[in-house]
Amino acid sequence: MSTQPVSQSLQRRSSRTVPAAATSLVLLVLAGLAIWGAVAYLAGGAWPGFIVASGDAVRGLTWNNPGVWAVSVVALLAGVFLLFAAVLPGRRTGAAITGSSSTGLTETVISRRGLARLAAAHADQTDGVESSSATASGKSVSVVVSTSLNEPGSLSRDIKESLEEKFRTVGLTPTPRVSVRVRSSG
Amino acid sequence: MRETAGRLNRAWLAVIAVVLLLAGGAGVLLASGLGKDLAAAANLALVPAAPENPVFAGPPLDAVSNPVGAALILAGAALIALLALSWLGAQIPRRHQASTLRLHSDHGRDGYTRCEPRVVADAVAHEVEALPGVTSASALIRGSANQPELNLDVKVEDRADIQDVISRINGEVTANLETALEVPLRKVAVLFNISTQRGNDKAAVL
Repeated sequence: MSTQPVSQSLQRRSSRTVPAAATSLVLLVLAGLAIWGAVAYLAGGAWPGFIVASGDAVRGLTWNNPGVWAVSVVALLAGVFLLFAAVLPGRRTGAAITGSSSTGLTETVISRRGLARLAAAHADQTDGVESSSATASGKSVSVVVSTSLNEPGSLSRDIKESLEEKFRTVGLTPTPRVSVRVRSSG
Repeated sequence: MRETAGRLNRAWLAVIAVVLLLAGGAGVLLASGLGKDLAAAANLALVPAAPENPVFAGPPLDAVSNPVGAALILAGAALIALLALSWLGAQIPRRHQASTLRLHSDHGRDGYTRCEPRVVADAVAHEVEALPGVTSASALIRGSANQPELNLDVKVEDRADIQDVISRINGEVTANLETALEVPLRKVAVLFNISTQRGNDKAAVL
């Protein structure tokens, strides 16, 4: 019997759904046009108008034609973009939490959105903060707070230290890097 | 909790990227004349086309304007369309829930005991939702009756003691599930999210 879990890790890298869906749609459209043309030829003995027009357009093209240059460069750029999408790891879906009762069979993760909400809610409780918002990756959290204080003083440092302590208490491993920006509305 | 086709996507994106890079690279080398220079420098027997040469030797449609050519195009395009459709369908996140749990032993000599994983998952979710600080929870059972895996999606308040929730899930919830299924869990995965709602707090007006 297999000893490997069937479930994917919760803390996985980006699955590249958007470039995959876009690429598969392009392939589907091109294949659809080719099927349409082939069926029309087999049924009626003649290619559809748009295929005949395309054939006439490329007849006589030389390799140094600007159109050939353009298609080649676009293909190169698209290849580079897709290769980066395939190879680069991308952002993780969440941050790992280590609990005192964690075992090798347990995986506990907080989502990026959850981490951002936690940071914003915690920063909101700081004296002098009117409102706060946060964004998070798996490794870092950026918080922007608004305050009516004319001189925020050490507010940014206080919030940063408080958040780092909160993340240690929650058990985030490793503790995300925290950056705090204070906007004074006073 | 739903799973995505990350590995499949990256594999196919890499294959298509290599094809595009080769085609685009070949086009640039031939259009610029570098291909001819490189082949001459490497003493290759193959002589690439010069930049002023035509891309197609004759009308491009002539080669396939016959029943065999059109049939080949139809077959190839149909294959690509099916693969592309299958790839597109794989983008839908899947639950991969376990099928009906067969809890009987000895090949059912004393009778068959079957349980839908949804029943077990709902019971686990209710138990988790009763924990302090938890606003909502959903559970998913994967694997099989002999090697079950528990996936939990837990929403907690921002003030909740997450370590306490983790400790209770590992100590009580999973223990109860293992007792019910009579086997240890192969994996427990818990995904936390922070809810903007308050949980079971009730305000008392004095």
